[in-house]
Amino acid sequence: MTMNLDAALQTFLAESRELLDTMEEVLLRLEHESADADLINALFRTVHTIKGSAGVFGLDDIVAFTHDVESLLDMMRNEAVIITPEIIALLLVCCDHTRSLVEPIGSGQSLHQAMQAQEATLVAQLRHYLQPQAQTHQAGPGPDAARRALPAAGVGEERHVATDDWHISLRFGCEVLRNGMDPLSFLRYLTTLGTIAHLTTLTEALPEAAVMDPEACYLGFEIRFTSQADKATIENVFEFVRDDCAIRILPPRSKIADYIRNSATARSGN
Amino acid sequence: MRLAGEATIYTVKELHREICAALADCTELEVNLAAVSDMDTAGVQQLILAKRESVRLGTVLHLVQPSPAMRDVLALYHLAAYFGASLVDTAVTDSGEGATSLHAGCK
Repeated sequence: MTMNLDAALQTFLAESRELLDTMEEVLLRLEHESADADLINALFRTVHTIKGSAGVFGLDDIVAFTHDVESLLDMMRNEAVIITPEIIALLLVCCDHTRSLVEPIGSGQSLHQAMQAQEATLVAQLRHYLQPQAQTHQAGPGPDAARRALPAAGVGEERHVATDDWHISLRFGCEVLRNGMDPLSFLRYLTTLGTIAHLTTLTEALPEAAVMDPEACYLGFEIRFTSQADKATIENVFEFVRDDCAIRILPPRSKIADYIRNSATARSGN
Repeated sequence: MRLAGEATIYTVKELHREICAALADCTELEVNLAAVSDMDTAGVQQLILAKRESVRLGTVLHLVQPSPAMRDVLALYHLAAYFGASLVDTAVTDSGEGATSLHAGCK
């Protein structure tokens, strides 16, 4: 590889990282905001740009995978597919997967076998939505279908645990602070069980200054959490705030079937 | 403007009034946070509000010398990027040096 090509690939890597960050950010916003055309277009552009740049470098694996993601986003853009929490959950996993396709470019490694198996599962789920008859079945592939398609967990896959994070969504109710609880203390407690790999504080619910109740809580959080703890242990962190907070805890992506099933359950429960 | 002591649910109503009044009066507002001993989510929300209102009103906001208590909260909430250039993250000395906050453009 010549120096110039190497430098260009590094640029592609940096650009893709930024685009994937944007994609994730938009998806997280779509989780709690109504879908407007600008957000969907922004989402489409991120994937479209990655696919285009990957094509220039002949990175066929990335082109192939992002093509399916782009097709689904195109249908969302044209309102041919209705956006559901399941689709957003699936796209979040696709975003993570694209990241794992892009990252090895920096180190020259090839795609891990377990990731190839995951890709097959994701492509199957994406194509489910791309079929015309999928419109009448918004719930997406059922948990059974996803479980069947899921690769058997092997030793190789276990090695991915380090990048295999929980996803925790929190929307605190306005009375939390007045009830003597502080979201900060729950986050501090959470850090005793693992590492907060990424956290986004959602401030959009904060009203205008004139109508803001200073003692009310308006914040929400999207957290990527690295931990070996089980779901019950993580759930227990939020036990005292359960009535005052919308909580959704999604397992690491190695459990895609659970991920999709739980997001559906939490949504219907909220 | 200088915040001292608690910026918590117990003091937040007063803090809210102060911040709203200061933002309305100034073209540039410096909030010195060196003496903030305790900050909770209610306090953080006022800073978020100050940031958002300053952008809306075109006021230049400087949050200077965040105390250890405040840094801790900003770190946990990953809010450093949100405040961006408004947050002037200079070192804080225990003696509270720098407490002479400048009120540029503000009486």
